[in-house]
Amino acid sequence: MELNNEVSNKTLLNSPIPKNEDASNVVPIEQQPLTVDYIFENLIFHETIISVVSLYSEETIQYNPTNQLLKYYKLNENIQENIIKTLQQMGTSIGKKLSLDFNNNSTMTHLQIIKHICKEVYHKIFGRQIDSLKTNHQGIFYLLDKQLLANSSIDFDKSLENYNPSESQKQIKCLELYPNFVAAVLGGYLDRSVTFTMENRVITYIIKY
Amino acid sequence: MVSSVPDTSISTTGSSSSAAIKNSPNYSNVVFLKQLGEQVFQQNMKKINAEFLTITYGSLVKVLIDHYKDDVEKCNQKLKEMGKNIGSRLIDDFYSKVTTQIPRCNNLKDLGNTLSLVAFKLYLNCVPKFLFDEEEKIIKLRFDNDINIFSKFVELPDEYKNKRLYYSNIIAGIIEGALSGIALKSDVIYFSDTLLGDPFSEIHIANVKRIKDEVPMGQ
Repeated sequence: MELNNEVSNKTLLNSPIPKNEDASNVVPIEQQPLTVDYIFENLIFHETIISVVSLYSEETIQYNPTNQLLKYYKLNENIQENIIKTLQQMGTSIGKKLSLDFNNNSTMTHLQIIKHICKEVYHKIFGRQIDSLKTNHQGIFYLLDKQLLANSSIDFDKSLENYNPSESQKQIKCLELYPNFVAAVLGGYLDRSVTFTMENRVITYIIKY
Repeated sequence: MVSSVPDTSISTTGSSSSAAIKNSPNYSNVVFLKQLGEQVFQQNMKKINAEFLTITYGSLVKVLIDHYKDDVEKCNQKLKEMGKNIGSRLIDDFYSKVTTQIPRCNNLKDLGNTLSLVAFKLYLNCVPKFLFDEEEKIIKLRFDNDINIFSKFVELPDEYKNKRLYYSNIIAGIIEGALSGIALKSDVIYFSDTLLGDPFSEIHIANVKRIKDEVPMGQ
């Protein structure tokens, strides 16, 4: 028994030293947060949406614009619904995974949770806060985003031969894919449905409690 | 190592790179590129937490597999096409951030060093090890210890391990698209991956050729 005790004491004495070394090794890794360039992250975000559109429009269409997003508005309505469904499924699963770090305390009011979304969750996605927040103080919140679609590259295709000025209003329909995706992410984060409206390229997300 | 080198190396490397000796490696150039990569990375103010990127990429790969019904080769192809679209735009951004300071690439070794030390550091915040195969002239970029951001917390099921799904094949496409933006034709292959049980993950860049401006026939 004594021998065993001695051995155990020795191991206990020896054990803290490698633990300290491990701790010193771990700390610098934690000090460097995983960061990526903003433009690179944004390019991949756009490319995911375009690639989902191109999955459903591989064989059906001969129309081949420089901006592949424009393929969307010439598809059938059934296929358009399928595209939006897959984007929303992706968005909700992403939102649920993002919300694993977030401790939803019962002490937080609705306003505090919404502020957390405006400042931190939106910053994770686009690298900036949301532009403005409005409420009616009865449980409905309006989040405005003016920058996301302001410089979208859909207008660049006006020089093409296929372009008709009468179709430009239909082409704006393609831009609905972005807020559909982001609204699903926010909805997955909060576990409730988030709707949106779009007017003059200003998106308003509507959250009801 | 890096801190001991004085800042005057910037002026010296500019002249020495033009008169580079072919066989001996240009050590001053490597050190300078390492400095440049860290400097550009710190000056770049627009940085984002990588969490959202890794999660969206994972869900995208899942959507692709579901859509193609477990046809892995089509999946790899599609990921590479996406990478080409991204890379052809990314090269413009790279030159807008870096080109005033960067020395000209005289040989394939310089190309590999700038790729690993500057480009990967700037955009993905990781530095793969650069190896050069002299006989066949292949540039190898090796990722050690799960540095690669895309495949950091990923495990693949056994089905896709046997079918060789290259999870982060988008990087190969990005490199190929970016090189085609500066008139270099190349074949980029994702050679091996640690996710599939290989000892290390490597990207091979082979057959790098310059595309010459040719006058069309009859003019």
